[in-house]
Amino acid sequence: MNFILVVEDEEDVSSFLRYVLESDSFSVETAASIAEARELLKERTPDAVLLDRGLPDGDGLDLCRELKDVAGRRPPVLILSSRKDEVEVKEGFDAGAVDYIIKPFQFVNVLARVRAQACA
Amino acid sequence: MSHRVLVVENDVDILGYCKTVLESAGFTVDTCETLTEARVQFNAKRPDLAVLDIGLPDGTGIDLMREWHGYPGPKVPVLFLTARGDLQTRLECFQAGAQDYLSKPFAAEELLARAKVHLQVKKSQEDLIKRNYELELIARARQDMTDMIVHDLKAPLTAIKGTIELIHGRGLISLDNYSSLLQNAGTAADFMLLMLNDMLDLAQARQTGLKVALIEIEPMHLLRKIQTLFASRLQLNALTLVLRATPDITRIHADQNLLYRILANLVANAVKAAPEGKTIELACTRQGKNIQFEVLDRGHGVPDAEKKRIFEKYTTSGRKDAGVETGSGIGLSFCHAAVAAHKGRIWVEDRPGGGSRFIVELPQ
Repeated sequence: MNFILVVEDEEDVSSFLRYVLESDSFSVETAASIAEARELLKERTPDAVLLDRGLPDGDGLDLCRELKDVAGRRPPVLILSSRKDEVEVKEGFDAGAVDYIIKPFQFVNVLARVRAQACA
Repeated sequence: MSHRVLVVENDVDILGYCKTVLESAGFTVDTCETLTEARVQFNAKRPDLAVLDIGLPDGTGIDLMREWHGYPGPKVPVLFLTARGDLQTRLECFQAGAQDYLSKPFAAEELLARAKVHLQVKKSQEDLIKRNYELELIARARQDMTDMIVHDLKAPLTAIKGTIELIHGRGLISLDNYSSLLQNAGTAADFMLLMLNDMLDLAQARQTGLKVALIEIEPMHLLRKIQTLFASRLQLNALTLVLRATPDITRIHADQNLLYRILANLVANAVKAAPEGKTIELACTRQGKNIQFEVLDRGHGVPDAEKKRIFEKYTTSGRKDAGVETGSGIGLSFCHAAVAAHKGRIWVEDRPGGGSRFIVELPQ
């Protein structure tokens, strides 16, 4: 079963993402901060990471950059962010993300993109 | 409590006269003859009113008043004793912030009349400050509550919106998933409605009192309805809800709608409090002539200091520990009002072995 890590501090978003992904036969863990995500990554490497940028303990991109060291290999990272300037989106890809989904997003869009990455 | 007046005057005859007059009206009077002594008295006793002579051996009463008015907090009203006809000095007193003056010699009745007016004004000011402070607290509590209501409504609304998006984007998810998605969205809507109804009923309870329509209810039937309401939430959090009813209780008397929502609120709190994988119990037992409903969880429990307070309007237990979601506190306020409308009791105890035990007791 493909394992997705959702790093998102808005609980309504993360809990529904979790529900949708689980309904779609993914296994899901959620983290509300970078620190919490680091802990989860020590235990298991996900098949994809959905990563918010504005987290309580920093920019999600920092986690994105260090993912290889933390997780052993680099799982595909899909950024979720309301920061939508071209420069900011480029920052996301520079940090190693494979996708950049601008908030507010459509859940259907997120599901389609996660499937494409995690099941590739 | 009697008002305390400080009289500072170096003419001992006038000083004694003031003391006698003021004490005859029931005031507590402190007297002194110098500025130095007055400072000590003022700091030790914080008078409600000061009667000051202007020319004192070690300075002027006006300087002394300026000093006092520089202190934080409400200013003590000052009544000056001046020489007759000294307009310039009187004006100086007012400019410096004095409330009033009396020309020597003065009648006892006039001293008392003026003293009472200034004490009344001071009391009104203090009442206003106190009321203002209380209103600020209420305004802050309302703001906090609004923030929490918004937070509580956001999650189910996100689920509903997300479901609509997913179903709208045909073909991405299989038809099999439609029904569970819709069920989840339906539950989300149920929770929003539950919360909004709690708010409406609380408002009604405040205005006219809640109306209770007692009917016969089969408790197990009610408990099963609660289980259905929480089915998807329980599954999501890997929780089990165990129902328990004493077999001989086949019928109870209660308002079906209110009781359903009381239990739904308590179970919703238990779901939030319980760590994943644990069991929540919902039970109905007989206690003498009363019926008790119990909701038991294995969460962090409620601190003793909070056990009563959480049922008051718009408070939460203030727990912010990891994984424990806090809500607007409307749920428990509603439970309290709805149980009271049944002439019953609601309280929370520590559960042996950890967690909470919420009990609703309804007379039959």
